[in-house]
Amino acid sequence: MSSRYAVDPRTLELSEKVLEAWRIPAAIDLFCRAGAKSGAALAAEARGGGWGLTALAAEAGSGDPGALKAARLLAAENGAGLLPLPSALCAGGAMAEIGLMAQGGEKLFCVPEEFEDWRRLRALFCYASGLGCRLAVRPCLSELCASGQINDGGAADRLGMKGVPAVAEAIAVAAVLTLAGEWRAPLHVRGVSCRASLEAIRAARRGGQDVTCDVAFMNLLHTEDEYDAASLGGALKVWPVLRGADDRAALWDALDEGLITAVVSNHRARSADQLSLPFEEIPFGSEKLSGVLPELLDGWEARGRPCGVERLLTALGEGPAKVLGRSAAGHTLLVRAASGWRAFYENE
Amino acid sequence: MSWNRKNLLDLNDWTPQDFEDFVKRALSLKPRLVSVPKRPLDSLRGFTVANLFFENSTRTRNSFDAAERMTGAEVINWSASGSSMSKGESLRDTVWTLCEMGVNALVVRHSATGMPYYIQKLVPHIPVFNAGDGARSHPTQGLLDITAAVERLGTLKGKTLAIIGDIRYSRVARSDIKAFCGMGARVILSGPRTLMPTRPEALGAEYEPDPRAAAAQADILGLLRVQLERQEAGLFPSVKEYHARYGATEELLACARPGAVVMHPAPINRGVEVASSVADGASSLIREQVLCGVLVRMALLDICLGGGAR
Repeated sequence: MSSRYAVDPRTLELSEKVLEAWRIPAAIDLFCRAGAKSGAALAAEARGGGWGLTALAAEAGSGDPGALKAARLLAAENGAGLLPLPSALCAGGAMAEIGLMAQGGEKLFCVPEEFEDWRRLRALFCYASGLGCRLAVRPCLSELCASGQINDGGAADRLGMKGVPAVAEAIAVAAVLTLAGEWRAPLHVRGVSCRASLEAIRAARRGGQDVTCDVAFMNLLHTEDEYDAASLGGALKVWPVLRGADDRAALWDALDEGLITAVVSNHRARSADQLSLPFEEIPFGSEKLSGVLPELLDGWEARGRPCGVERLLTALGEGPAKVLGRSAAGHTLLVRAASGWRAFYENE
Repeated sequence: MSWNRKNLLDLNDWTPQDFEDFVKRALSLKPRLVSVPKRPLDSLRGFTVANLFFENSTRTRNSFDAAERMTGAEVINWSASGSSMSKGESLRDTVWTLCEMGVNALVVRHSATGMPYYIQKLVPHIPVFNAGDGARSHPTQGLLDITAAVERLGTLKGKTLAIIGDIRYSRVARSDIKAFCGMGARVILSGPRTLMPTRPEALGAEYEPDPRAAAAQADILGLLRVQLERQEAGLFPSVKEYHARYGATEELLACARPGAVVMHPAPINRGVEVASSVADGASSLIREQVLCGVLVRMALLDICLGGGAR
């Protein structure tokens, strides 16, 4: 009898006692980037890790409907499960044909990372308002980050490194919320990492603004305390940078409150060459994808389940589905055995 | 016809009766223009009118020029390029110099809002006619548009004009709103939100984001030229998307009320804000608008300068 799963969970049952199991609508990774990895490798890894749908965040240049169609066809060749998202901007920063793509059913458009042309961003929100779609923005005021590598906090002080202050994110989040609110345009804030950003989003939502947000799993599990001279390597070269314990606690609280819509892998593979560089030269990224779901659940378990299980599971399935305006086929089976959590994608 | 204006700076103080009387007067001049040979008015014989165009213009300038000649005036055509202004002469000195040459009226187009008011204060004894200032006002365009619409539809009372396009930067739209509302029509604005005024109601119009919903209420579809620099400024994605979503196509026209007409101040971008089949179709008033432009400018010069109001 063949299994419906990418990896057969019965092998686990044979070797370990299952303590707990949850079957949820297919887990959706709302933001993932291929980086140095091939599409086929990415698809296989995502499925093997229990993700039902992996949304590939768009960069500038993929704002053309034809290019999006081509990217979707290429993704389909790697098997179902990869969903390239459209960009709100074309190469050079011109506005993409979001009206035509929204007419075609697209619900979420990515504003490329590090895009800080506020005048064009305002025009984008204005134009998109009323089209029935949402713009996803990763806000950061780059001027305040200089060449920062880690959080501008205790770790930067301790290591004598340039830091990335949380206010660089918080100011930009507040600005983006204001711009979207001006036109009542639905907004998705990517990669929230600090308390101040959460407070701004909470206030906006209380004011009736249609805003969703996500958090990278690394920011839920790790803090800046893990940066030390000996451990500085690719695993910790992530963006958003790892913040302090107070910010991490605020993220768990926000997840429990339902303020955070999705937990994402924030995956972006780097090549072996890139990872062998000195810390300051390694590009920001995150290698983890297949291990994200079990690691997240283990971390949640280890911290005494700081948010309700339903909230956590919603942030892995229904939440991101809502942001994408679609649902993935299939389910994800989450199993807790003595050795920890495992995730399996159930293909229906 | 009661008339005591000597200038036309905008349409802000025009009453509904002013609009009605003016349109009648303009249309009454049509036989003079279309007959062969033409029958000029000659009421401005002995007058000199200077056309001061600080901005490029073909249609409006030629239309004023034709109207001035049809009323018997001498015409001085002046443009900023190639003038003393390119040698550093100030606008004030240019205006004073022209007026000292015996000019009896000035037709002014300028990119700066309020410039006709400024010039009128410089030379209060010379009538000034606004041929467009910034994105604020283009009063003769508003007047010619209602004239063309009245000629085709009979009356504008109870009718609805849907203006689709770049309203935010359009002096035509602002003057059309004044003129059509003055004639008892309702005005709906539609187009990309990025090209709309922040508060459409402040202009005396409503905003309907869906052009098909706007057209469904319209007896008149007023289209505006889309400037490609708006795309470069990131205000809309592409000509293709603009045409698909906001362009006046047969499909959009089919949404409008029975007998609806299509207007455009021209020059038109075929395949962008209007499909050729619509621009050239039976519903199009675009050519009539050009003819009415001359009639309206003739009427204006005649009643303000030539005693035509009597």
